[in-house]
Amino acid sequence: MKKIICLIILFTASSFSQAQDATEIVKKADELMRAKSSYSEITMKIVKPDWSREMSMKVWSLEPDYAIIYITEPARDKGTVTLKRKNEVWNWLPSAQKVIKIPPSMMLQSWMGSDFTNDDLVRESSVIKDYTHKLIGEEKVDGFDCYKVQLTPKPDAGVVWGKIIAWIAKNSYLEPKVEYYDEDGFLVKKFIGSDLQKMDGRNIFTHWEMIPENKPGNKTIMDYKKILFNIKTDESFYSEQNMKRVR
Amino acid sequence: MKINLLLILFLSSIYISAQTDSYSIGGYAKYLFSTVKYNQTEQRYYDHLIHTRLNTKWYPLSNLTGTFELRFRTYFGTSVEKYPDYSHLIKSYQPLMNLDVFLWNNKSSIGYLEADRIYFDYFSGNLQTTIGRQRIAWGTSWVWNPLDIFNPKSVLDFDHEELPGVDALRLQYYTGPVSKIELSLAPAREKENSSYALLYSNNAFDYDFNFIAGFHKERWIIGTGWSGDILEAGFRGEITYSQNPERINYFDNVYSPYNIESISSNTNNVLNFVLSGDYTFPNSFYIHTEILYNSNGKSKDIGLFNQEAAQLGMLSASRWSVYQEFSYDITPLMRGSVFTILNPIDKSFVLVPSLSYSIITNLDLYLIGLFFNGSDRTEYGNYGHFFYARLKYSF
Repeated sequence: MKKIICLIILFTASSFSQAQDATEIVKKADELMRAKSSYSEITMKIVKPDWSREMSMKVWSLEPDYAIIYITEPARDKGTVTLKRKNEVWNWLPSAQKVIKIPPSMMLQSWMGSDFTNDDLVRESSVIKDYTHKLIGEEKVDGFDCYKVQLTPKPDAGVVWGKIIAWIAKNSYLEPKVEYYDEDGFLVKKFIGSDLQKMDGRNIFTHWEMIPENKPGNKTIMDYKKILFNIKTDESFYSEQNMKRVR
Repeated sequence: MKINLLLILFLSSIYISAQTDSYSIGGYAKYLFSTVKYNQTEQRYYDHLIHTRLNTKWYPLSNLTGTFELRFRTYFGTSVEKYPDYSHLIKSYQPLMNLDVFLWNNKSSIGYLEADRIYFDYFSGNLQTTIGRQRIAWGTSWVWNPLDIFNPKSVLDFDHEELPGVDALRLQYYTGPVSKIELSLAPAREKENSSYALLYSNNAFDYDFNFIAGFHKERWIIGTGWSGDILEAGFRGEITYSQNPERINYFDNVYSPYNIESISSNTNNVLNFVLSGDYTFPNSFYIHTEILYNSNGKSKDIGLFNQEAAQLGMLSASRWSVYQEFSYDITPLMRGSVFTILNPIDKSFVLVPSLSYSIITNLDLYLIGLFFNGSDRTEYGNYGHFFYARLKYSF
């Protein structure tokens, strides 16, 4: 569960940064998805070689500390709500009408084996602050003319990746592709964005796939059904009372 | 059986047409197979339970929500055939309203319909008023909850995930995002079975704290609970202190041949506490330990007191109880778990291995065993070895 929360936060809030100079490019890409607060409806699909599972949710968030996540699908889990306030997380189990405080060690559990690592989800590393950025070329990806930018973690950033390579579209600052490499320089996974749509006034990719390199047939897909940026919300919305009430 | 199928068809048809904004419908259908060989009988028992549940929410106004949840169970098999009045073991006894009915009850099968939640929530600013049959879950621990005075539960009743409810009026006033004051009143047909209590809950130092005070069946009770973590491991607990329970003379006859005294003949006030800790490793391996102490619990011939303890609302007849669980995601779709409840005094225990598997979306298989082990007159001795297999389809 916790993994999901952080993942959502990752998606709704952050992403990548760098100097038009590469740093400037990365910053603009980062700002494309960034908002002080947001409401979104998301479907996540775990795809394995011989099975797949889907989960849908509604997410209210106020960066960087507050979120409520309401699960709408599958029916088995419908109505389960997660409340995040700073570093504390609670679940509301509507069937037993019980609030459970989730211990930190439990928050790292994945949902049905998604391809997101703990680091993706939990670490609030900043693609701007924690990396140096270098323009290493220009390439066309999926029809987009892109800057190819290399992000190298700063020595003290405590990031697990050896480097990240991001393709950032010249006009729109969309990121059709991001690649993550380990410290030995091997590609670990790719992050592919597609299905460009206008949502709440912004042109964004609404379909994302996280594809691990060494596990053929595996991927994790996120689809945005709806996003509202900078919604009217404040810290007091993220409460026990609303955790039980949202729908 | 026919009625069950009809009910499922009926439910699915409304479900298809009914996902509108002003109400929602969901639920599940379960089939539970069980088999047990009791020490006292020659024959192995085979039992079947078909269980459908309908959960509905109704939103007539923006600040008013109605919740109606029905469970309908059909039992057949050896137990129904052998026990003269098996329905007594199925029936839930509620202190105020009877919202249940045996649709049929014959030698081969029993059909039991029960509403275990019917309540309205009214929201007015920071005040939430809830009236009707609901669950009041004040406990912070995950196995034993001395703080759940209104609706005690048993961890061994694995097939009732919703847990029992109670007919009550509940006023929750939220004093902050994660703090509240609450008054709950649960009247009963017999005045002496009424309960009413106040709760104050707050959050500080990354911990949730609960404090309660009230009367449970005309006996005062005070208590506290907490939930937080130490080095990322969950750390929870509950403590209650209550007036000695009412004297139940009925059991004196049961006990006199053994020359032992009933739990309720002890006139000392009762101290209960639970300590609970758990830790999840990154590879999903999970450890959970809980300890229960009951100052008026027994330390000898504990098995003889189980029924009296249950009737007194005690979570165990024993002075000490220990719960230990290990579980692990064998695959992303399959979780294996084993827990035991051990009586450290008489060394009896129940061992509960289980396997849950997601066959397809919303269809789950659950295999579980309840293996009771211990010598005569121990808390968990002599109940036999139960195996269960359950299919559950959620909609």
